[in-house]
Amino acid sequence: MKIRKLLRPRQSATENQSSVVKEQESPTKDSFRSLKDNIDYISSELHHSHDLKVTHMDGNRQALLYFESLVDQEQIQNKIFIPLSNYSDRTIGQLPNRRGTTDLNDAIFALLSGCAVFVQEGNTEISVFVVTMSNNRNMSEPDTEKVLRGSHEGLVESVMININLIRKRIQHRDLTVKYFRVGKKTNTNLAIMYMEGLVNPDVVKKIEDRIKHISADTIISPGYIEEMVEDNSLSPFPQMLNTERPDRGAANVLEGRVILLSEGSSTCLVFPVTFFTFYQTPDDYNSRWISGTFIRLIRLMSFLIAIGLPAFYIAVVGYHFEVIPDTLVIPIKSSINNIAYPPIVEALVMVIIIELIRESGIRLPSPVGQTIGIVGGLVIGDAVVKAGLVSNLMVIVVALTAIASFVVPSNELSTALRLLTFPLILLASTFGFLGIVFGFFGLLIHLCRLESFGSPYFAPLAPLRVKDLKDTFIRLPLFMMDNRPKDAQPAKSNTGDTSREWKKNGRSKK
Amino acid sequence: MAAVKNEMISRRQYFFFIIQTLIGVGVLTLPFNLHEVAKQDGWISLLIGGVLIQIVLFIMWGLAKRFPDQHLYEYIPTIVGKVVGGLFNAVLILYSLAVAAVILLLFDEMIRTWLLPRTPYWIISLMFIALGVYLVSGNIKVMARLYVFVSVLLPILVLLLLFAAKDGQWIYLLPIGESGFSSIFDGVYQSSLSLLGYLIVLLLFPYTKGTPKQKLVTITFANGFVVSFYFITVLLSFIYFGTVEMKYVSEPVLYMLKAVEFPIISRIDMFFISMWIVSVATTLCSYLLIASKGMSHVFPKLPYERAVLFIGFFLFCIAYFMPKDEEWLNVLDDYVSMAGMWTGVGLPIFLWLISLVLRKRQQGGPNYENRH
Repeated sequence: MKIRKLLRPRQSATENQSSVVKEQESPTKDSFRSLKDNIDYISSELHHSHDLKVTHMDGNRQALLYFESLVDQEQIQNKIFIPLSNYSDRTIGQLPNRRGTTDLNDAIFALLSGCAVFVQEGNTEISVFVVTMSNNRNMSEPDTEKVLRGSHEGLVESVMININLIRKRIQHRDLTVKYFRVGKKTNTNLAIMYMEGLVNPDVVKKIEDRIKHISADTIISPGYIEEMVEDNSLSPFPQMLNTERPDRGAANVLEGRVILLSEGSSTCLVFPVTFFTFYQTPDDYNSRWISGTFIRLIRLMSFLIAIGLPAFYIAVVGYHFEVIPDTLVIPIKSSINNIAYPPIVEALVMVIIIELIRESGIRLPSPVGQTIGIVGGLVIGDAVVKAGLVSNLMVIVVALTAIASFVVPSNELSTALRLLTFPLILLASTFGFLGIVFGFFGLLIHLCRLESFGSPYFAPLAPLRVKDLKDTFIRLPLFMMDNRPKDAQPAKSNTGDTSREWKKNGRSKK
Repeated sequence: MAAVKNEMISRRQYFFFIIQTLIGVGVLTLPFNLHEVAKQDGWISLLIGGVLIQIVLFIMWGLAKRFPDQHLYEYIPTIVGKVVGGLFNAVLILYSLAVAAVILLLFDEMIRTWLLPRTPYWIISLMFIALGVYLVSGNIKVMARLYVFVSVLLPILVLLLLFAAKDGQWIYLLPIGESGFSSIFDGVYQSSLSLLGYLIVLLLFPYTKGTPKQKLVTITFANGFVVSFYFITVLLSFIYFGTVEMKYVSEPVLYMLKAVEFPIISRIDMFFISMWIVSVATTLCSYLLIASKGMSHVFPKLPYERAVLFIGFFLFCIAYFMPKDEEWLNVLDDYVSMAGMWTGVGLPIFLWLISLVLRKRQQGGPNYENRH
C-alpha cells in the first residue's frame, strides 16, 4: 500500500484539472489584419523551420503556408487550385471545403497536422485546407498473431484506417469513437472505440479520466499509454491486451470492452481484460469447437508447466525424492549423480541460456536467427550435458518449460510467465513443496487482488462464474454462448437467441 | 454502517468462506483425537456435535438478524454497554490472535514432521504470515474470491482419501456404541472443538447479500458440508486402521495415503499435505481478518491495512517467542479450545439472551435497499 502511495505523488484535485494537456487549449492569439504580421508570427513560432513553405500570390497580397513535408502536393492542386480555376470569380478564401479561423495558434496547430493555411492582406479570417499526405503500408497480417483460418488483415499505423477496419466489421449505429490528444510535445492522436449500450459506462468514464490525466511530454506508442492508465503497475501481469488484429479488436468491442487506438502504432489496447483473455485467439472460433476446446486446454495446461515444472523438478530432486516411483528412481538418480552443481544452479544456467538464445535470435534476420537456434539449442544443449555441467533431465525440463511459455498467444503474458519461473525456482530450492505451495498461493492472491478497470482479473474463476467458464477453459459451440461473459461488466448480456431454431421446428427435414 | 456496498460478497462466497475457515489444521488429527476418547464410536460423537453446533448457529443467526447491517464488533457495545463491550471486543481480538498463533504453531510442527525437518520455525511462520497479511489486506471480497477458488482442492482431498481407503474394513466400526454414553459425550466436546470458528459467520453476516432467511440456509449448508467432510475423514480413517492401530497413528489421514502408490507418483501424502497447507492458510487468514477487523474497529483512526500489518506483526512475535516443545503446545491448544468454547458458543448465546431481554435492535431497523 505504502509503496504505491510513494510512487504516485499526490496532486490536489484542482491541479489535476489544469494539467489536462491539449495543444488546442494553448492561449488563443488573434490574427492580425496585416499579412506580413501574420506570416511573421507563424514562422517565428515555428522557428523558421526550413520545410515551412510560404507561397506568395497576387502580388504579395495573399499567401499559402504549409509544411512541404506534411502535405500532399496533388491534394493542394485538387482542393485549392483546380476549384479556384473553376470559380474564377472567387478568391481562395471563398472556396468550399475550407475551415475558417481567426486564431493564429489554431492555424499553427493545423499546419502541424498537415493542413495548408491561407492568409490574406487586410483580412483576419484564415482559411485552413486539409491536404495531409498519408503514407500507409498494407494492411498485412501481423507476424506475431498469425491465424490458420479467418481474416488476414492487420491494423496499420494510422488511426483513421484502423477505425475504418473496425467499423467495417461492426456496421452498427452504437459503435462510438472518441478522440483524444495526449503528450505535450508529441500531440499524439488517440481514439477509443466501444459499443454504446453494451459497454459499462464506468469503464468509459475511467479511461477518459485516466487519459486526461496523462501529462507526459512524449506518448509514442500504446506501451506508454498502457503504463499510465493501467490499474497496478507493480504487477507482472499485463492488464490490457495488445493486439494487431482488427477481428480480435472487433470481437472484443462486441463483448462490451473498449479498445484504444493510437496514431503511429499498429497495436490496439483492449480492456478491461481477464487473465484468460490472453489465452484466446481468433483461431479458437474459426475451428470446430471440439478442437478449439482441446487446443485451449493445452494452452492453459502450458501455463502450469511454464511456471511450475522447473520448480517442481527441483523440489522433487532436492527435497522429496520419495515421491518418485521405484522404477524411476534409478534412471533419475544416475542422471543427476555426476553433476557437480546443485539443481538450482543447473536450472538457472539452463533458463538463462534459453533466454539468451531467444533474445539474440529475436532481432536478427531470419537465416541468422535459425543458425543461432541450431547452435544454441542443439550444440550447447548437447555439449552441456556431455560436459557434465547440467543433467539431461534438467535440459528436458527447461526446454519443455520454454516451449510451454511460448504457447501463450500473447507475448506480454509469455514474458511475464518466464519471469515468474525464477521466484518459484528459488522458493522450490529453499523450501521444497512448501515453497511451491507458498509461491502459487501468493500468485493466486495477487491474481485475485488484481483488477483491470474495475473488473476482477482472474474472473471467471475468482470470483467464480460457472456460466462464463464455457468460454475460458473450453470453448462451447457459439450458439450456446447466448450470454456475454460478465468480466467486462457489459451493460447488456444477451447476445441473441441460439440461431439454431431451424433444427427444432423441423424445417431441416425438407 | 459497517458494510460498504462494494465490499459485499455473494451467498456462495459466504458458504465457502465458512467452510474454508473451519476446515484447517484439525483435519489431520481429528480422527485420532476422537478415537482417543470415544474409540470406534467417534463418528457418532461427531454427528451429535454437528447437530449441537447447528443449534448454536440458529442462536447466532437470531443474534445477527437483530443487527442486519452491523458486524459483531459494532453491536457488542450496543448490547452490553460501552465498557463491557469494549472489553468483549478486546477479548475477541486476543482470542482470534491466540487461535491464529496455535494454528501457526501446529502447522510448523506438522511441516517439521512431514516436509522440512530442519528448517527453522520462524522462517516458515514469517512467510506464512506475510502471505496472510497480503491476502487479508486485500479485504473481504478478495478473500472470498480466493476461498471459492481453492475450494476445488477439497473434493480432490476427499477423492484421494476414498481411493486410499478402498481396503478399509467396515467391520472395524462394530460394535456400535460399545464405548458407552459418557465417552461418546466426551467425544462430542472434542468434535465441537474442531467445529468452532463460527465467529466468521457473525462477522461476515452484514457483508453478505440476501435476506436473513437465505443466509440461514447458507450457514446451515456450510455446517452440513463441514460436518460431512469431517465425517468422511473420520469414518475412512476408522475403517482403514481399526481400533487397535488407531492408538498409534496421530495423523491417520496422512499415514493412510502414505501406503498408496500410483504408477507415476508414489507418496500421495506429500501432495495431500501440499493441498492441506492451502486449507490451513485460509483458516489462518480468516482469523487474521477477524482480529484486524476488530482492531480497526477499536481504533477507528487506524487504517485497515495498517491494522492487518500490526496483527501480522503481533502474530509473528507470538510465534517467534513462544516455546516450541510439544507439551506446552498441547496445553496451549487446550486453553485456546476452552476459550473458543466460551467465545464461540457462550458469548453468542449470552449476547442473544441479553439482546432479547433488553430488546436491543439495530437503530432505525434493517436497511435492505443496498443489499440487492
